[in-house]
Amino acid sequence: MLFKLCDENAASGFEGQVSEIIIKEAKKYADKLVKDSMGNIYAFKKGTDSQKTIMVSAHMDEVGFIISSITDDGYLKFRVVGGINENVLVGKRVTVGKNKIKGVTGIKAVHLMTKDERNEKPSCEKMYIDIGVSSREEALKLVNIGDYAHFDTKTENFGKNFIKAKALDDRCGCFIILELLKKRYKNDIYFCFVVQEEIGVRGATALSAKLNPDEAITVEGTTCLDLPFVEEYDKSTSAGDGAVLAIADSSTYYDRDLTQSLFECAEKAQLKKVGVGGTDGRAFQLNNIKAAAVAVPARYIHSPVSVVNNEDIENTIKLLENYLEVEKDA
Amino acid sequence: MLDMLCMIDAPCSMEQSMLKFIQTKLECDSEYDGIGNLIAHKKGDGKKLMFFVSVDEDAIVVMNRDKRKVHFSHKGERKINKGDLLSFGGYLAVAEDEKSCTLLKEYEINTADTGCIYAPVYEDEGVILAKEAASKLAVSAMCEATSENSNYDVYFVFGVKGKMRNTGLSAAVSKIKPDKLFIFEETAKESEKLCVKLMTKAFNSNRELSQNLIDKYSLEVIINSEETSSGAVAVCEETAVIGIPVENTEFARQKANTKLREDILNLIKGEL
Repeated sequence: MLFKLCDENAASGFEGQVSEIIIKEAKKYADKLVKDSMGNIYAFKKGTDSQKTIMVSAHMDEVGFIISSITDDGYLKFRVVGGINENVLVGKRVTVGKNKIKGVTGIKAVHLMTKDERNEKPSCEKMYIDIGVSSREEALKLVNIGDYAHFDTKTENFGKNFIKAKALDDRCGCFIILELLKKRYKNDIYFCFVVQEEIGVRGATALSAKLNPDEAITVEGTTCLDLPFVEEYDKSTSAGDGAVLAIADSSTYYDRDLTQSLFECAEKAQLKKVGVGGTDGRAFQLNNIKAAAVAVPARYIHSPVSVVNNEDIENTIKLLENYLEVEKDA
Repeated sequence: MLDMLCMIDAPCSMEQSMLKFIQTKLECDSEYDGIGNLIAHKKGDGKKLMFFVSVDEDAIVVMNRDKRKVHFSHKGERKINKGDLLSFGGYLAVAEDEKSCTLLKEYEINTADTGCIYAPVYEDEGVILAKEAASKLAVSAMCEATSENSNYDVYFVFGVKGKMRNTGLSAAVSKIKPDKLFIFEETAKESEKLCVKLMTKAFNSNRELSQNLIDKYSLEVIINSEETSSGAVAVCEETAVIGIPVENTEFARQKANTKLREDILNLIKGEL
C-alpha cells in the first residue's frame, strides 16, 4: 500500500488520484466515510467507551510543479508547487498531467554557460521540461497549461530495511493512518487525509474547524539529517531511532502534555525540536485544538527521492495504537 | 503582584506556572481553552469585548547536550550575548553565543527541555527593569480589572505562544469571536504615554475605534511600517492595538514606567 501511494501523483490541488486509492481502502474499515468539497477525506470510527474525540491526520499532497506556459519549440515552462529547493531540479525525470507524459527538467548545459551563469543559483525561471516534441502544437496534443508535473520516481526497498520513494512526506503518514484504521479503539476517532498542506495547511484548517475534536495529532514525514559530516546537534532527527515526537518546529510549539503522553506510549521514539518547516499542527492550534505531531524521520524530503527506515514506520504505528488504545480488530 | 509576575519564568509553550499564578488573582470565573490560553469571563448581555495580552517570553529549547555543553534553539526576538545567563528550570548556564551555552554543573538537562534567559527584575522609583515588562504591566492591570462590572460580555485573555507567531491570539479570537478586541503589547516608541498602533507592518487598526481611544485617553499614535504588531493575525473587524512604551526591546530586560499600569487599568475601566 505504501508503494502504491508513493508511486501515484498528487501535487497540492491535484490530490484526486491518491484520494481514490485511500477511499477504496478506507471504506472497508470506516463506520462513516466523507469527502468534503475541498477534497479532504475523513473516516469516522465510533469508540467502544469514548471519553473524547481524537483526530489523526496526514496530508495527501506532495510538492510538485505546475505548467505555466509552452514555448514555440514545445518546451514546458513551469513553477514549483510547495517548497522545493531549486538546486535539486536540474536534470530530473518527471511526468506531466493525468496521462503521465514523460519529461526531463532541463537547463543550459554547463559547457555553454558563462562564468556568471555557472555561479548563479539555478532558478526554475530558466528551466523547462523537455517532453521530446518540437513544436507548441505537438506539445498541446499531450499536455495543457495548468497541468501538474511530478517527480518520476519508482518506490523501492533498498539497503538495510530502507525505502526510497518520492512523496514520503506525507504518504507514509497516509499509510500509517490507513493501518490504524483497520482496528477499533476506545475513543471516537476521525482518521483524516487532508489536502493542500504544502501550500499553507489549507485542508487541515478547514477540516479541523468542521470536526472540532478534543485533540488532533498530525502524522508526518519530517526532516532527517543523520549524515556523517553533520554535527550531532545539527542532525535534526535520526533514521532508525524510532518515531519523532516534535516539541516544536518553525511554526508551532506543540502541546507539551499531549506530546509527553504520546512519548510514554512509544517503545522507541525521539523527542525533538525539529528544524525548519511546519505541519498541519499549526492549523489545528489556530482552531483552538490541542495538537501534537508524530513523525517518521525522512531523509531528503521535498526532493525527487526521499528515504525512510521501515522500522520507524512500524514504531510509529505501534506508538499511535498504544496511545489511541486499541480495543479489538475491526 | 507585579514583582511576583516578574519572577516567574514563562518561556513560550511553558506558561503554566505563570497562568496558575494569574488565575489566583482573578475576580471572576476562568478556564483554559484548547491550546492553553487562560480566559477570564465576566458574563454580560451586550457586545463581546476581549482584552488580550501574551504572557510568554523567549524560549530556549535544548537541541543537543554533551556533558556541560548544550546546543539550543532560540525562539524570540531578544538578543543572547556571550556571557548572558540562561535558566533551564532553575539550572543555570552561561551563553557562548546565540546557539550554545555551558552549564554551570552537569545538571540533568535533556533534549527538548525548555528554558529562558535569566534576568532578575529591578524595580525602583517608578521604573521597572524586567523581562517582558510591557506584558507584566498589562497582566497586572487586567487582573485588577476583572473585579469591575460591565454591561458588556467581557473576556480577559492571558495568551500563550505569542512568540510563536501569535498562536494564542489567533486561537482565542477563533474561539471567542469578539465584537471588539483590544490587544496590549510593547512598543519601542519613545513616549511616556500609552500609544495606539494605527498602522504597522501588515496591520491597520480599526480607525474609528482607535481614534476614539486616542481622543478619550490622550494616547500617542504610531504610524510605522517597520514596527510589528500581533494585530496582524487577529481576525476581528474592530481591533485596536495599544502599545506600552518600553526601552531596550532588543535585550532580555526592558525598562518601563510603572505608572503605565494605572493608565492601562483606566483604559480598560473606561471601555467597560
